[in-house]
Amino acid sequence: MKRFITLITFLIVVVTSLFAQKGLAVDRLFGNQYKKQKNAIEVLVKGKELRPYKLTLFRSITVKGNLDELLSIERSVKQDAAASIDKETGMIGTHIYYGFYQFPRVNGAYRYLFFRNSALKENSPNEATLVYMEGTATIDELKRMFK
Amino acid sequence: MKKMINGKHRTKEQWLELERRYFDAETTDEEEQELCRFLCTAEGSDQAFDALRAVMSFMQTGKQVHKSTTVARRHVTIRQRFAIAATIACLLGTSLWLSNMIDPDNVCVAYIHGVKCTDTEEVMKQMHQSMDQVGHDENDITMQGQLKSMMQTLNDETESENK
Repeated sequence: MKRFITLITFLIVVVTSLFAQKGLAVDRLFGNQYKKQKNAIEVLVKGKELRPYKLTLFRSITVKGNLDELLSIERSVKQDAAASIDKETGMIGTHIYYGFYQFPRVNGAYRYLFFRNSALKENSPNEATLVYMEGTATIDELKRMFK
Repeated sequence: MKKMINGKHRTKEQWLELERRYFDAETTDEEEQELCRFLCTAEGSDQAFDALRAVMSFMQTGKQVHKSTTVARRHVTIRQRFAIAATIACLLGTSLWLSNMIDPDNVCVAYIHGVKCTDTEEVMKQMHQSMDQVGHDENDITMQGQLKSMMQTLNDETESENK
């Protein structure tokens, strides 16, 4: 019986870890409200289509809207920025115009977050784009691939 | 040493001697079986062998009861093992199915203005567009953005001084 309980506990741990979140604040933005919004485009690519890019996961959201909505995305990005191990940002005032963040590797995969809020710049579309990527590609490789 | 193989050739005294040896735990398995067979014969129904009959019957019944309990226990154990194995298989299967449902290995989907699109070409186009959008021109920041940043900082300072 003890063995059985141990096994069940082990299975619960395995199942829980399978569905565990990556622990980023931007996670809540993906796969939720933006899927149904008329002013947004959300992209999710996983698996074989990403092999040429040495990536395993690609998620992006492009939202057109008022500045408040775009700044709520920025808040999540700022939250995650604290956990980044490498970053490159361009600020306009106190807001992030563009940002690149690299996070500690998980299961051997690099994790990247890109953000750009064009609404902060005059004569630019009122939109913000957020991209999250996972894979073995280095930042230089990504720059070359998506140039 | 064994004198006779067939019980029919033993005399009553010899059977009694064998009985004595049985009670002294000196008989072999073969001799015990002989005794058992002998008790089933007309000669063995003699009152002199009543004690032997009672003990052997008790022992035989005891052996059978013990045997059936052990078998039953073994059956229960095997059944339990099957149940545990089936439960584990079910749990693993369900978790794998769920993980595949929630987090499939290959996904290529885009939601364009609220409309789901699974056309790989279109999704990959959207992916590249997203990457183009986040790519930045550093000159933008240095010229226009930094000026705006400076102006905003100055405005903030003026506002705080006025307060």
